Amino acid sequence: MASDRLDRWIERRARGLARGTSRRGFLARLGMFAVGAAGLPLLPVVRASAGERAPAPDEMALAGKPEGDPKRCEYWRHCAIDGFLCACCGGSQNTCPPGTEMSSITWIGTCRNPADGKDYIISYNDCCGQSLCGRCQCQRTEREKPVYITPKNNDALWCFGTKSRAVQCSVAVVLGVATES
Amino acid sequence: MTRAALAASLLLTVASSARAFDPAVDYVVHCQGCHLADGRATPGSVPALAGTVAQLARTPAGRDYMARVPNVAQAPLSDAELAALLNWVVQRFGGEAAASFTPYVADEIAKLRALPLVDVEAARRALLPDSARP
Repeated sequence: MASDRLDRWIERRARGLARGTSRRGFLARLGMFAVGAAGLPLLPVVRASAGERAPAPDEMALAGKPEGDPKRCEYWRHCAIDGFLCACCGGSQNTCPPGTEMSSITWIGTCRNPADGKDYIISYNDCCGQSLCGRCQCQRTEREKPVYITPKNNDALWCFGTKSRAVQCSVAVVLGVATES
Repeated sequence: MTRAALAASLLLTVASSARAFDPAVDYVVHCQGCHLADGRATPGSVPALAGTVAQLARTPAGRDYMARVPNVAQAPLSDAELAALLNWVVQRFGGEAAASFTPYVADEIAKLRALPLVDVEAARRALLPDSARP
């Protein structure tokens, strides 16, 4: 009795599915997927994750332009960042995603802008109050010191003085040019 | 040839790491991350510079303390750079005490930073009895 009901229910669902879907549409979607998958290895993000490499053409083209792509780990401001890029998490390179609070205490480093060759002071503030973003993880360690020199180690979570210690992502704010004495 | 190249690259490394920044820039790079641009406290995490530097700058013991605080003494700066940075901090946050303050010199910083300050909180309480714990 129960198996009869199950049988009828499955038959109804199968006929409904057959009526409601187009075979040609399915083939078109399958075709798109196949072409898209073949194109994937060409995307810059895959090449970027392949470890040490020469500068990509778009990075060379940065000369004369003030900014690159803040969603990429190679972006010049990210020379000493350790975290998820807020530009990929609903914020930007300067602003936290909605619902998070920017820590005032922060990790500070200097990065050279390839566009003008100057060293800029960059503040890597954590955005606090939500769980880890999980997108665009980026770890670069220029001038980072071992963890026993705490103010110069970027592995620490920098959500100090904020309502929550939970860190979601990190921004890279330009504080100014590092002028030599 | 290889040795010459190695020596040249070493020299280049030494030369590039010897670049000195303005004390104001060194403050931003080495201090401001925690002490903030205006030197105010972050309760529970970071003690204030504003208000306390003035008290410390008035006494010889306070003067020694400022140069021996671990994150000051261990800053990746030369003795001369650290002296210039501390003098800048006293001028910026020292209030009325700044005018009569004898500037730090490199030799003095070299001697002070070589003396580890083991119990920082006890030293701070002794020098700043009125200041709340950070």
